[in-house]
Amino acid sequence: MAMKRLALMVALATGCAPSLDHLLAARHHREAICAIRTEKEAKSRVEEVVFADLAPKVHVEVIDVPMEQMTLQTVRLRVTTRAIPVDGLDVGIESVNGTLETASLPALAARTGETLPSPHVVEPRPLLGVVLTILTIGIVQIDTSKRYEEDASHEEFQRAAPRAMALAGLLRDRCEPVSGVAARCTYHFLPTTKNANQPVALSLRLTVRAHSLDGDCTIARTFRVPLGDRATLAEDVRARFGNGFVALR
Amino acid sequence: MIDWPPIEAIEEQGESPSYFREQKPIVGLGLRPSIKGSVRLGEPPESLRRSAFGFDVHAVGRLGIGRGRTFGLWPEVGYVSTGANGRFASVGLGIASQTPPLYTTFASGLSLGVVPHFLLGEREGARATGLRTSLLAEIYLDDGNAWGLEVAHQTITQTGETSHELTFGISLTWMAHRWR
Repeated sequence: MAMKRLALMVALATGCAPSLDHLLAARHHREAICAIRTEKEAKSRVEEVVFADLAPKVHVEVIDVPMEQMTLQTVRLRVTTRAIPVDGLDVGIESVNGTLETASLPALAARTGETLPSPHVVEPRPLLGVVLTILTIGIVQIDTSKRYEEDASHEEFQRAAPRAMALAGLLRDRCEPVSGVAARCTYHFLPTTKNANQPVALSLRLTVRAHSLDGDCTIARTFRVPLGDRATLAEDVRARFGNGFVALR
Repeated sequence: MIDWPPIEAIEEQGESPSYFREQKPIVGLGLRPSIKGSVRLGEPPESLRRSAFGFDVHAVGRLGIGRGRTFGLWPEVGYVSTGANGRFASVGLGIASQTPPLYTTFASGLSLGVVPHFLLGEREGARATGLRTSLLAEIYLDDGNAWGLEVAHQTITQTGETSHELTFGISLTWMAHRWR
């Protein structure tokens, strides 16, 4: 062990890079990810090991959320990974072929038939900026001479679209706090009528980050999550994910 | 709803090396003009003053090998005017502990090199040779150029007599071409 450490110190002092085999075997993933910047041919090997360690798994359910006179079909995707020794992990999910859309407030308002409030136009108040500057002896300098738009308040949204707001609260995407760098996240989607004859699928992109003094080093991999046909989505999803989380490859 | 599976952790084995996450060192070629003051040690020959002002300019290489604070080779070739009518061609190759420009503290941004220069020229109209051993401290700025301080011991041999001098200088290392 002492000899290994000595050899590593000598190698670093004389400018020799540690070997990729050593980095990957000892799970020094931060170093291995940043090694790709200079050793391009190492990319596939590093990605293979890091994503194998990450071992992402997903679970998908089709849930019918009751509304006043109907039910809203939603797709809930849960993603989990192992915790690996890196500095960051980003999860990005997109619909393939536009067959699903994120359960955003505008999308939910379109389903409930409610109209969201428009942003307010705030008129210029040049005098206010001057007064603030004088009162704070120049410490606060805000340009109030231009017209700008301000989002409607939460209360206004609540009044204009109470059902969409309630659904948005229920279907909020979230990641749970976990120990180490890992994902345990839940996302919600709404089926659309676009490309109805094409299979429903999601694409999940995982980006792993390592900090370095020259900026972050990243590797990313995209996984396709096929869900089934639009007409038989609930049954197809149940058949595929009914027994629990499924490993992504 | 199906429960979340437990989160397994993959542990790093031992302390990670920090090589690929470090900055690449400066590798470049440039010029290092310098102004100097020198003091003669011991009793100088009658013909020479005890102190003198001079200047020199060297074409320099800063060849960092590795990452972060690392070993560097510092070749230098140039012209040296030692004052007191001394003019020399200068050739040197030094070793250094070199850092990249980005640093967080003064000490971490300081590159230190020892460069022996062989001097060949003339002083007081006579052929002279010498050896200047320079200790160079350089602070690299964001643009890759550096301010430097130089303390050197210089021996000049001329017509069988050898004089010893201490030299203090300020220099600007201008990296005309950088690969990194």
